[in-house]
Amino acid sequence: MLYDTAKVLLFSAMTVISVGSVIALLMGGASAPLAEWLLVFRIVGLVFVGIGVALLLVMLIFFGNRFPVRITLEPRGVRWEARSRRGKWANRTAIVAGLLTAKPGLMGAGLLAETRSTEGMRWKDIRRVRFHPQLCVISLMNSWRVVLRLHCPPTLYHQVCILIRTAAPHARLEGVVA
Amino acid sequence: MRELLRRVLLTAGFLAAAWYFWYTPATIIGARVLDLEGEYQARVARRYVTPQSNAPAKPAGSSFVRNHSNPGSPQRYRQHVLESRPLPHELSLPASWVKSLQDAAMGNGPFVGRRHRNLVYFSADEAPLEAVASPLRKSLGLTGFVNAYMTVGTHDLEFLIFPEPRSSDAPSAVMYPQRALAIPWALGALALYALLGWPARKDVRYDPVPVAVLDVVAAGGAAFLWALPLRLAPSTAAAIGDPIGGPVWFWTIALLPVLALLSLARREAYGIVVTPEALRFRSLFRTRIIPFTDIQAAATETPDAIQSTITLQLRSGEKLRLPWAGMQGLLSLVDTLRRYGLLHAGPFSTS
Repeated sequence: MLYDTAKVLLFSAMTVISVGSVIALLMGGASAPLAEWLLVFRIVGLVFVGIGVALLLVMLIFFGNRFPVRITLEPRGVRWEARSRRGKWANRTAIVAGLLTAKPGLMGAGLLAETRSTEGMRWKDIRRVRFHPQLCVISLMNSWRVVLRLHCPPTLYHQVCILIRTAAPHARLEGVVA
Repeated sequence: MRELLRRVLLTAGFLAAAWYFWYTPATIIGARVLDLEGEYQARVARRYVTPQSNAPAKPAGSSFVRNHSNPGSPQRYRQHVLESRPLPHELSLPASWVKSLQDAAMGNGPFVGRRHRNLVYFSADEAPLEAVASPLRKSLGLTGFVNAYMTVGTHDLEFLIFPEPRSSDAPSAVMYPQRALAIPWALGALALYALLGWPARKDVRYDPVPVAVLDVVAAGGAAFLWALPLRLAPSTAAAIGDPIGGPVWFWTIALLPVLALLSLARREAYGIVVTPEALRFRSLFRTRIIPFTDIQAAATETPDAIQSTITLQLRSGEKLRLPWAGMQGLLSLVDTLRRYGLLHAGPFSTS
């Protein structure tokens, strides 16, 4: 989870810097001294470090370092459902608060989170499967990114591995296959 | 115990780094070599020149002040300034020190790194200025002015005292003289933390990477809260001198990340070693060995509908719950329990 969060923050920071740099160059910023460019990069970096620390605190304090999910392996694919009552409560509070305070950003954040509380992936869309037996985690990937990570109970890990290999025989397997 | 020691060293190192990073002297003194006669010609004399143009007549009052405050000559101006707030005549400063001060104004010499604008800054306890500091403080107390003057040889010097160093423009080499020690302390703490954490054999353990990240964040948070009053106070001595006014509150809140570190130590210390004969459970302060012959059965349970565990039922009647979330290496434990025929079908099993 920490690795995925760090990856998202890093890519977001790089996107912000890239887009900002392109805009600055188009507006004649090429002649600005290097120190000014580095200052902007440093500010963006500090902002994202702050966001990362805030996310960490939310994960630890609000969610108590726990986030229950239900993962269902069905004939059509894999379904992931968030089961955290705190998470649901927070989403709905954000939607209502956004409505009452006329803050579309807040409402939008709550709606987005609510739509992401259930996700799925069809077996035929799985391109790569990476096994992490030490952690009992299986990563399901499309052509370019990890879509779902299945955190398996250790007593079921072997069975889930076999099930996935059977349901997605076309997928490339990586890591130690149990 | 080793896990506690690692975190104590990490936190102590970060706190020391924060101390050295934000340490400021109690008082800072700025000094410069004056050219009072040149200053008179450049700035002061112009004020007393009668306007030649047909500009409207200035009010009589300002004309009166101008006429009666005109020093008249550069020499008299110099005398007037030096006698306004003189430092004791018995004070002396080495000629070489004064020469270095003069060179700094030209951008040369050993004091050039201490210069900002037209002042060269020193800590009040540095030689040879510690002799000047006390009379300066006295002058400030008597006159309310932060500056005073003295003559050394043919050079006129001006000294400014900053009892609140952060109100000055002193460069960081003077404002934070021990800052260079901060990074070695922080890196040394991280190195000790990493070296002492060289893992002992544990087949089943919590993932060490998130624990390490949280350790560094918690220690960094404790250092941040520890350093905040040092940064906000006018100087380090001022912060320590008024503990109830600020530091005690921040330092009390800094205990929260320290408590988090204790919890992380407990988490990191926990582990299970699977041997052919027994399971060895390691915790922060003790090790417990449970032979397989003492285990009656094992099954998966979900006691609170959220977190599932592997539960060991011992022949003594005791139940040991092993939460599996966040742990790694559990497959070796599960496979061993299955091999001994101890793992029974639980609510998740499809067999």
